[in-house]
Amino acid sequence: MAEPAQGALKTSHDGRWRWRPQWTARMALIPAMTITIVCFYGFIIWTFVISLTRSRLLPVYKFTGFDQYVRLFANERWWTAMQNIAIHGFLFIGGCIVFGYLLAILIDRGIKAEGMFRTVFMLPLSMSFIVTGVIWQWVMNPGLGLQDAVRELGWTTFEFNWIVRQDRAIYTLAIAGIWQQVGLCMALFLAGLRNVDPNIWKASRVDGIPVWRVYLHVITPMMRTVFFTVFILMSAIVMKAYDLVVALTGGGPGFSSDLPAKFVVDHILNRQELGLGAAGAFVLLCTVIAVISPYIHFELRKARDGGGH
Amino acid sequence: MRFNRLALYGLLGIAALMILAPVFIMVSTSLKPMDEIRDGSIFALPVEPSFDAWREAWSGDCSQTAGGNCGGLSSSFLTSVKIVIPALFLSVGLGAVTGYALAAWKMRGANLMFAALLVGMFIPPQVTLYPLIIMVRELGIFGSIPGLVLVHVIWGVAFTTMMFRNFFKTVPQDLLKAARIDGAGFWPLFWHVMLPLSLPILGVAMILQFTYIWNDFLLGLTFGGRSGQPMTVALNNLVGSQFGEKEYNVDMAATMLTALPTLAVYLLSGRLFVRGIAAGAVKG
Amino acid sequence: MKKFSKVAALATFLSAGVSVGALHAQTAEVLHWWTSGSEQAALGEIRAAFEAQGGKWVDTPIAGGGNARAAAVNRMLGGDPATVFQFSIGQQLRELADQGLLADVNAVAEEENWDEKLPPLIVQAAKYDGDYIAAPINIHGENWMFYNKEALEKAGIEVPKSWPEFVDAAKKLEDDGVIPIGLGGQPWQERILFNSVLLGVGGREFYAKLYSTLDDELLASDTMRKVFETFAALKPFVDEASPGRNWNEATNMVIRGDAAFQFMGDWAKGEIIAAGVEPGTTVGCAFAPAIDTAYIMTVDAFAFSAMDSEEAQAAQEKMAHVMLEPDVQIAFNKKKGSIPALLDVPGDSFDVCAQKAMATLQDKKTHLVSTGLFGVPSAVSGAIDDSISNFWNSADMSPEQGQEEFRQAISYAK
Repeated sequence: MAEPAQGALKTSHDGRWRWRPQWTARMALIPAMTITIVCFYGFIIWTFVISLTRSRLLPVYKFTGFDQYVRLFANERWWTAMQNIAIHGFLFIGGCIVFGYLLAILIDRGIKAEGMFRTVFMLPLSMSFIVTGVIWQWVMNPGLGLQDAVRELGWTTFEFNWIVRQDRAIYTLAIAGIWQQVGLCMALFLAGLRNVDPNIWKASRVDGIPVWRVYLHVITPMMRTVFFTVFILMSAIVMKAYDLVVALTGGGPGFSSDLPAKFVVDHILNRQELGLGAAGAFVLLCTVIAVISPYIHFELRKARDGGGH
Repeated sequence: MRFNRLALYGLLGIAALMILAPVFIMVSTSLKPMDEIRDGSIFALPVEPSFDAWREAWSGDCSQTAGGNCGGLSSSFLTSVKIVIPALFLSVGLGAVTGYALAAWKMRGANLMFAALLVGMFIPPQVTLYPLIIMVRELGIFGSIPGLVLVHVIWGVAFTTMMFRNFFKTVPQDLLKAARIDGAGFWPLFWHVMLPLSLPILGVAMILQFTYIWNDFLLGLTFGGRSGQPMTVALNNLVGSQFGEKEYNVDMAATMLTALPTLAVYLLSGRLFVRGIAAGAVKG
Repeated sequence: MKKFSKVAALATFLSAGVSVGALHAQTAEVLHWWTSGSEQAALGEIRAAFEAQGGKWVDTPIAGGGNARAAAVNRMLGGDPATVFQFSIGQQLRELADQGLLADVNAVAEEENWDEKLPPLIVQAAKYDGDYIAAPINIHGENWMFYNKEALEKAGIEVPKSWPEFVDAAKKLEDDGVIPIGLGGQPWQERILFNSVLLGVGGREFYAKLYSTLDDELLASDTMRKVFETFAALKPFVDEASPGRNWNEATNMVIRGDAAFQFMGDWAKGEIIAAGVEPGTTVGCAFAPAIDTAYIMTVDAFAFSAMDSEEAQAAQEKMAHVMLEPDVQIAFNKKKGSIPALLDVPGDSFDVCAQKAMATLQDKKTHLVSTGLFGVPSAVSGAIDDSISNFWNSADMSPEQGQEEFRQAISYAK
């Protein structure tokens, strides 16, 4: 809310020559603004409108009220998918943060061959979710992969069959997802650690505080914004998760590892249930907005405080 | 102290092994003939390594397919390149300009617009395919590479704008003020001051966008039309279409081939990546 | 001038009934999901015939029926349709026709008398408003049971004729160290097994009535309970690594003898032939155990996009004509593992399994539809797959619960 005052201040000081660049700046925003309004919000509204119709294969504008939502909420598969996105989000984001931070700390301890380790940890980032899914499906397949290999070594009762178990398959998504994304989190945390004032380490060494306590009580609180960035980036991935589940489990066994995005795509593209799919999509988009509104609030507050801390 | 160091390297080593194991399995499998894959453990090294599977994945095996498709990946590699280059520069460029305008030029509603734009980062592109198809059709570029490029720009702009905007916010206001007093307009300030400053973050944004666009499957399948099918679509055709028994070695080789360009980017620019992030992405 | 008319006459002769644009090659982009080996080989027969008659074939394969169907529809919406595209016939295709996105091939159909030569159920599915909107090119059966003869002999068992017999046989095979059922654990494959059990336990009239009416009482009936109990009893006979497996991997398990039985459509024969085995020799085929004889049909079909260019229209007609030519039907279907859609095509050059199917279909009472692609609306079909797959993979669901969930899923989807 500080802006009107600033603007007033400017016009009194500025000559006409600054009028133009401001306009250019506004013009420069037009493409992004158009995309935002038309594609993001326009599409959300379109989705909502379609969800009120009985559209099957193609959009048809015959309205039926909230029937599709009634059907959606009576659908067991939808609830499984919603529950799964919560489980997956918690495990995946949590895992990425914990392991990413630990790896960053280990690397930050002044090791040799730092570049090599860093590159290794970031290697999976170059793979697509489809590729990640294909590899892990293979590693976790009880007949071909890890279970079979360990049994062949002599430990015949070894079990690792989560991917074929209805009650465990959802956890395999988190394993593959963390494997792929932990490198990005590590890089973000490492960058944050590199920005820590070296004097803090000097001071703590003088005071004789053990290293782990410095990390826990001093450094970690300073890294608040990094944690936040990681959280946001990883939740964007969770919300969009589609390819990984398709390649890894196909949503199975049964529909036990289904996710909302897959539910929506299946219904819209394969099942002639555009209306129902749109209802699912709209609920998903609302969830998205609910999840990121704290972030937006944070961004706006930061901006009000005058940028950078 | 010595023990601590040992534990440190031990932990790092274990982590590195866990990350590398699946990659190792892929590579070694792609080098094995099918007999070895059937009989041996997935962790075993190839006894008689051969590049046959790689050759087949790249150029296909025309003798087996009477439909006239050799099914190799080579034909679609160039298509992917044609898609990724314009899409990469346009999406990163637009993000840089938008982020710069939002961060460096005080405008009423800039924050609101930024907040509104961020939603785009979280929308799964798959769930809003239909309206996008209709829009691209109305623009008359459906089923062509320009159409696909536009789609990539749309779904990339939120992310790239966020990266640049957050970075430009960390540039000291005094610097901007000084430049403006010197009479620098919107574009000169961008080209001569801000863009050179943003090189590290530009690198990060380029790398990540390259990965996303290269790896895309569904958008390419939907919007590319007959001539714009990227490598991932060819990969899907190859992996989903096996003659009888699944040829894991060819699958793995094809998978590696598809991932090779992004892999190279990460191997060559790993250092740049962390430095770029340190320079801006996590500040502010 | 004389020369011209000669060429024109020749072209007309070659393209039989197709008159326009015959002078230059008619180009047809064909979008399909036949990317596996046997499918490619079969499609190659159509392609060869089409090209021999002067057409130009542009191939757009997209692996996965779901992907390919979505791509076909999306491209139509986007105004860049493929000339000819593989699709399932039924309600989904009718909706496309309703939106004016399809071309009909009545001219060819009339000339070649499809009405008489195709089975009535298929004629009905391929028509919209009296127009042929698709060319049905074959009939697949879904209630087949393929078995490894050697494995059965070793365990000392006969080909089971009823489901209780099957369960006894499966136990013996298990003791022998053979996986009794080679199953690809994907929802549609689990549904094929389920529908075989449904037909086997309930009989063909029950099956036909259930899926044509989707009647709540039938779904809640004792017969249905028995179906679910029988289906549940099969769970232990599948190996652990089944979930997610592709159908052709499961077929290869039977060919190698790792597994004894596979319940799969007759397209599995394509993989059997590709492995160098003549169907009916070391790998046998029989109908899944049932109380009466029936054939659950599913149909592969190609549809035609509405297009302005006359050349494209001519190409479409030529394609429709080529696809149902008797010689092409024979060559194509032998490689595909299916039987000709035209009931008057001679079957003596087909394998024993196909001949059995052709003989069975002479009796119209055996004609049943699959719930997979054209028997029921795809919303219902999807709901059926979901609930069957959920039940099959659940460790603790009772048959009663499975039946109840199945009933509910259908009532919400219909």
